Amino acid sequence: MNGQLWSGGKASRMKWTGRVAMLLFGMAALFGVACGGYQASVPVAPGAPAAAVSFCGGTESGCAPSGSFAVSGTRSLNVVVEWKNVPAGTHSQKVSFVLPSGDEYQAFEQSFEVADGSSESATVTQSLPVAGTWIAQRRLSGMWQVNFFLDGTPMGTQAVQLTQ
Amino acid sequence: MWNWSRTKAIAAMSCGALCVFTLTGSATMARERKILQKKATVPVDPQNRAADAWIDQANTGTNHGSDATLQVSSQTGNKNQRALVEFDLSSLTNSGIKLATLSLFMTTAPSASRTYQARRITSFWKESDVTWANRVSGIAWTAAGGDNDGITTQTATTGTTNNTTISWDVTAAVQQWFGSNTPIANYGTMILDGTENSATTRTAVFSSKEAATEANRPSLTVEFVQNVQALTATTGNAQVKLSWSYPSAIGTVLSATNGVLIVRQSGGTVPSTVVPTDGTVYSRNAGCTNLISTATVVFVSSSLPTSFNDSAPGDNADCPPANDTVYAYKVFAKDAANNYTESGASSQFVPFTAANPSATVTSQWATTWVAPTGVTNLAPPGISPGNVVVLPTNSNLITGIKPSDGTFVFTPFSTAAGISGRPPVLDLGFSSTGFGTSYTADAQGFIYATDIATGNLLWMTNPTSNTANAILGGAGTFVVSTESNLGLSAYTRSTDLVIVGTDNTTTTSANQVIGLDGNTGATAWSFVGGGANPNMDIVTSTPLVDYTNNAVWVTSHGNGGTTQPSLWKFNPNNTGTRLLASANLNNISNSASLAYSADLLFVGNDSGTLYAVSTGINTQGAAAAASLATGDTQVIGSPLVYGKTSPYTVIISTATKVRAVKYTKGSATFTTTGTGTWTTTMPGTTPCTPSSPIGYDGLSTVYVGCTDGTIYQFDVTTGTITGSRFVRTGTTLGDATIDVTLSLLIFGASSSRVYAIPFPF
Repeated sequence: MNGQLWSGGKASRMKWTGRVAMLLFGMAALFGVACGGYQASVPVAPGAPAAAVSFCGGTESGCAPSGSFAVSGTRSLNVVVEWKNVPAGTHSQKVSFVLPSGDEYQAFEQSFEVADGSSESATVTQSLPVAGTWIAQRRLSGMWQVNFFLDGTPMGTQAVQLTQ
Repeated sequence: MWNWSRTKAIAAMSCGALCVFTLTGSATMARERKILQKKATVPVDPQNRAADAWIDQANTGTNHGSDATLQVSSQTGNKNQRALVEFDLSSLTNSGIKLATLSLFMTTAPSASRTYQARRITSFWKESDVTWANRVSGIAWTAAGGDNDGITTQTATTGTTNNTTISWDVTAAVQQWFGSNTPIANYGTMILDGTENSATTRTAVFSSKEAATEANRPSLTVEFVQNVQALTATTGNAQVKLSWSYPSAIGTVLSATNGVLIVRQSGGTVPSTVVPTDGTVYSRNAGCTNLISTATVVFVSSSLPTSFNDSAPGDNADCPPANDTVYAYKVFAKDAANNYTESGASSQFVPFTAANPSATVTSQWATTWVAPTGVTNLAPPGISPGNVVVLPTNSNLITGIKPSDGTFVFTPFSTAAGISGRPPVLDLGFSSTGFGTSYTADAQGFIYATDIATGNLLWMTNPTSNTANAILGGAGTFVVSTESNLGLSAYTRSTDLVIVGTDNTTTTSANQVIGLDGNTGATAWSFVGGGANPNMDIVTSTPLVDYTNNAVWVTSHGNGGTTQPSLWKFNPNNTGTRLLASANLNNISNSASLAYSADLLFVGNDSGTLYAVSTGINTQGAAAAASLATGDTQVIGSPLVYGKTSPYTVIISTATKVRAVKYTKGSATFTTTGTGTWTTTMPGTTPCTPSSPIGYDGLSTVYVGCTDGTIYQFDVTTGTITGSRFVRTGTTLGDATIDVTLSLLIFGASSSRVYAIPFPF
């Protein structure tokens, strides 16, 4: 299971529990994460920025939410980050993909805007191409780590499985 | 944050015709002030990549890239204004950044003092296109008003006095561009009001690089430490000899170089986190237990040495290297105050080399050079043999390396996104641009033409104005001079043609192949799948140019089956039928390879089948001449085809094997037995996955990198592994490029490095 919570930019992590799972299920239903929303989360400390992360794999028939993806049938790995309690203004999300060997594969930085007075969450999707890439060509399978940053501050790490 | 003495400043900056800076003396630490200015007509201007503009929320589509001013304003009613400034830092090669200060000359102050923020811009933008809405013509910022890092701490107060200089400390951003653990692309700095939407309009006007008074143009003052260069290693029996040189100083010298600190680590790499601390004195001790993080201090000298003999009879009696162990070395230049090339951050750009001492002469080897790439880099480099290696990277950078010693030909040039394909490189005299030219395509669909002598951008374009149309393969290049040299004339265009295919994973039908004018980047023609055309799934390969048949061959995925084409034959000319033929061969991720006489091509698909296809096909859904199911999951990379005439020898990599088969023209099958055919399973309990094989007709060996961190040498005739070079445990090696002039194999790795190793082994 790949449920994780982060809050306040301190990379604090909360273990997945049944109670939290229920809460997250509710949040996922509430916020409707893109690509089906494999999971969601809420901030630990009220008012602190928090990220809810989910993965879905783009296939020839759509985008299937999961925590494990077969390299051979995945066109792209989409990481959906739902930001809560982020103050108004322009922000930067960085997503770093780390190979099972510990080497960084690639990092992406993407800006997003939170409007003044907005209480909405901001959802930012980062797509990592898989089909035809070095991931498929070198069979770079195993447990990858995905690191998340908000405005340069580490917000947490999420594991995702790539299989052959 | 800045605590060392600057007692040895020996020269002052002066301005030449272009007023950039003057190079002075030998230094390890120096200061340079860069002045933003107009592009020069000569390609040697170090500020040729520089840009500035201001963007206006009240006029979201208006470009101010050529204005003589930069405006920053806070005004309610969606009328804010922001300034964008990007400096060309290409002259600061191989340097660790200590301090960077951005200064703008404010000609008109706001009516009340304001706090202005300096933020790092996080997306590629173009000076002549940029607006509040768009970063490049037709391509919007992700966040209107400019994508930036969201960090609000770098601030300056304007005051209310006209004609004053306002400065921001932008050290963190410049360090990230140059020396961070994961170098990132330089898209410049945004200046904005920290409290926008003011009820009372508050506007400041600054001089831009177009300002008439040169001294008033934007400037960036950088203090930095230059490292050694041309680091090489030679190996012997329990011995590794390193040598290096010191670069000419850049800018105003603050403190002269007096020596080096060298660290060593077994296992093929020194982690980028191994960084000495400024002001700290290091030394090697008996037993060599003095470490910097995980690396051993093996040599410290304050007498400007240019070599280090790591051996007991040489310079290291305390802990000489053991035989048959791969060691990595990093060399940090230092000054008298023990300021090191890198400190506080990391050391991606510190010279690095690997070597394997051995009692057996044939087992002694060392890298010719190692170059950093920031993140995993498996794309094969482009090359002009003996001249320049063009390194594409996943960290949005293109770098030019001198293949003989690893020094920069041109420093990293920032692209919009990562690069996965080999950039073609055309030497001066071959390219129709009039420059030695490299074409690079990136994962946001941008294509760049770069002068390989300077790294200057000749043109860039995003032909579909859609960043979802990624280009994962390299650019194919139809070269006029080659057509002429071959005595052919079917290609009717007067300039070179650059061909790319799109990897838009959201569609299995509407991907595109685009032909661009090599001189200008203008779209010469395009083919869009779907509609009246056959569906086109993603293209992840480099188009193959076929001069003999005046065709461009493109491979694509086939929507996971054989109901739509995956091998395409296109007409490269501006006129005439575009799609000449196709074949439905299931998903193909790699390029095809032509036989010497161009009567056949060979291509492997992602299901492990190798095909021979007649280049004379002229129908849609054409059948392959022959196929071979390898039974090994997938064909990796492009086939190597040996032989001047049929029968041809075809060498391929599959998921766990490398094999050679033969094909006789006209036959319905491949020959898999007999002389010259072989199958070799890759080493390992679970065999490693090989890269695309590389070699050339006439070479008796072929080379394959693997996911076990080793590059293997095969005998072409027998398939016997006759040698290997272990780079690093747990490292995946990318497709190699061969420098035939220097007999070098050059390949990237997941260890964020590109290695150059001599062959044969």
